[in-house]
Amino acid sequence: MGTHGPGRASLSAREVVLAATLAMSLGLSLPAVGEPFVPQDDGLVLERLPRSVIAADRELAALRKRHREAPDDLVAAVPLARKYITLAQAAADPRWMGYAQATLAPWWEARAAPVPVLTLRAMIHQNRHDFDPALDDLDAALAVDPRNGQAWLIRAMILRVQGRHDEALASCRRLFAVLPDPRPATACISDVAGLAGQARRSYQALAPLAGRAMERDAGQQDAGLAVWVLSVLGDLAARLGDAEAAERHYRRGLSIDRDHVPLLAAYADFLLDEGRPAAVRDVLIDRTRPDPLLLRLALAQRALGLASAADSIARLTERFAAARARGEIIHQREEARFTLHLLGDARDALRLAAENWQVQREPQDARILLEAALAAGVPARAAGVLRWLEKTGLEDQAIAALVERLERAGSS
Amino acid sequence: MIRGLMAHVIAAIATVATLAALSTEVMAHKPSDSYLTLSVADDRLQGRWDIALRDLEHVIGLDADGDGTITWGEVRVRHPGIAAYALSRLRINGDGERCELQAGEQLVDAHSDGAYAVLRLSGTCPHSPSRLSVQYRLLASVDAQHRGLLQLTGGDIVQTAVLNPQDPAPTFELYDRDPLRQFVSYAAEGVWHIWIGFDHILFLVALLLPAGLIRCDGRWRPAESVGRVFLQVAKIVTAFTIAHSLTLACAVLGIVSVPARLVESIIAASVVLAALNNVFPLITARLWLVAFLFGLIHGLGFAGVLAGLDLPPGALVTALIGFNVGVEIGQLAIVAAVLPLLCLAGHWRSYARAAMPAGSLAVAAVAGLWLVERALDLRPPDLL
Repeated sequence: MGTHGPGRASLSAREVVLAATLAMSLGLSLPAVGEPFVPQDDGLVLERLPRSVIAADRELAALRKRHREAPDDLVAAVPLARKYITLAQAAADPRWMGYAQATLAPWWEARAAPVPVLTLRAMIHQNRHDFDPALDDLDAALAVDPRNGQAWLIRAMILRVQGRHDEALASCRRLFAVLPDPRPATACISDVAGLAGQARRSYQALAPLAGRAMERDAGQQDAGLAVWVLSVLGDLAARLGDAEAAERHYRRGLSIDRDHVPLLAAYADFLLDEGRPAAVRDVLIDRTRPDPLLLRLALAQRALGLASAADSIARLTERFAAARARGEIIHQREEARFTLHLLGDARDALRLAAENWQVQREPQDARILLEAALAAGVPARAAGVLRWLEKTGLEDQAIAALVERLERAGSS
Repeated sequence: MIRGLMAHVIAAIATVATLAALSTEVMAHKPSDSYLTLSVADDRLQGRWDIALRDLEHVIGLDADGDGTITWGEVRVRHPGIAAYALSRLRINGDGERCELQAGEQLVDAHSDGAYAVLRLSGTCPHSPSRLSVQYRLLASVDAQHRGLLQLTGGDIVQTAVLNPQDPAPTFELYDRDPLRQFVSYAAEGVWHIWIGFDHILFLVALLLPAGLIRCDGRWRPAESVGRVFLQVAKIVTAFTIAHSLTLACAVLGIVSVPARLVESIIAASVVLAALNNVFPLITARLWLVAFLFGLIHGLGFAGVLAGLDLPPGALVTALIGFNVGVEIGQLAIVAAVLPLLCLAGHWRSYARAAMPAGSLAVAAVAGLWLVERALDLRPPDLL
């Protein structure tokens, strides 16, 4: 709780401007005021539900009805929670995670919950960056059901985010044993090994899969695998400096799933690094509801020197502030990037990047910390990351360039 | 067997599609919040509650025609349902007793993550509360990550809190309980109000203008000693202080009540009389008595100001004393600044003959204008 001195609360001019720009940018024809208002037109569209939510309406209604009739029944709760989690991803809206968590309320605090609950709980924890509870739940699930491919896969991905590559690889390898299809395991291993000094080999091992995945019928499951494979290939190619291959893989991935947010974000980052901000705008147009995409758009607008950059920055500022107002502190990677490249505050960016590094150790996390340390003129603060990079053997041409600059700055 | 394995594969691969995207990095930044603003004045509550349309759509359904858009018409029509749902999930107690809440107008507003329904709230508590408990249960069994962001204004402080529907109802003190901080804040108000209280200052100034002089044989002469001047001023200021403290306390505690217009008019008259007395000296001795008598009226004038500051029912005395001390400090500051000049001025010949009478007449003129305005109720709503 916070207390202020004797005073009266009121909207500052800045809040009014923010709310107004937000309203306009949400595509709503709201008047340019920050205060609430009564619309004149009954037909004014206030909110558009995501397509995925509309499409799931019938199925969701049925699942919710079943759950309402028996809220303590596992058989009713698990499918509903799983559906909510799927919708969270499809709609890029974490409130669905909250619904999933509430659905699992009868088992939420139980250490020894049923296995389906454990895996779903792990997913919800992972979404909130509670990695240790997530791993605990997965370990508990695997102790009961060691052939649970989903659990091994989630476990591998969490360990990968944490930079624990050897453990992640061990989880990936288990997939060969528990799944008849070797493709997820191959993709998993290439993904992780590609971060641990095996980028070229991983690429070569994975590239054939891209062709084969496409040959199958584009069913939902294969599409998901294809997109994963292509995004890993794109990432590897970009880091190794093969821009043409990266572009090819990203575009193919987007042709399968135009709205895949992680893929869009990765492609946008690649385009920004290639110095093609106009292409970023083309790709992200009308797709900036998810905050990570809004960030990339803002970076592109800034690079192009557009006036709309200020608008995007205002919107992002408001979104970060809203998250902070409710006590959320898990978006430091993006906030660090935002603070450094859009607000120009290197010291604050470095603080955020360092906090982020305690939790996540992917290439992007290393990179923003190095950039911030360089910009803030304190290369010594990058020492820990430099040691880690050397130990893991990450191959990334952008990071390599930063390392070189930092070493020169540090020695001068 | 094969079916089971296929289910595993399907599940695993479906996981892949969701997996990377389970990261928060790909989502809108935050789970669901509602924004609740409440203010408490006496026993009355006022406020506003912003609830996301997406949340309302999920719990009570807004998209009547199922076309995937929520229009103003659909929200407007559902206003009773929205209000009923919201009010059923909010319970406010003042000092342990339930406060009644009603929903007023329905509006909309845009936040960083979408459009929100805005409910105007109003209500009453059985008594003027000094502490408020807020039981917040919106989306309680529906969204485990939902939070209510509360901004509460009551008495003299603004507080914020993050309300969790799963937690027991928190209690908020509406008044700053720290006596020292309260004292200081009211003292500051006292200083401020004497500084902007031109009529009080002018009264003092009018009384002090001849401080460097004494009346002797029908004429003004320079005062003999600084010590004597000092004593004279001290008596006047102290008498004034004691008098206005007395009536301020009586008025605030409700023992005395005089119409504001009468009080203000008499205050203006007191300034006129004090100023004119310098030009046509009728009272030359025991000016402190004059200060005392008129001080009683000035105190009632301060009471009006203090009442406007929304006093904490449990700390009236602290507030009173604090405010009084503030007024004293302000007064002393003015007197201390002016006094040396007055002592010196006493020796300047044209002071007694020209400057002092002229200054007094000017003061009388200004105060006379006030008197006319206030007596006839001509002035616009003012600061004093």
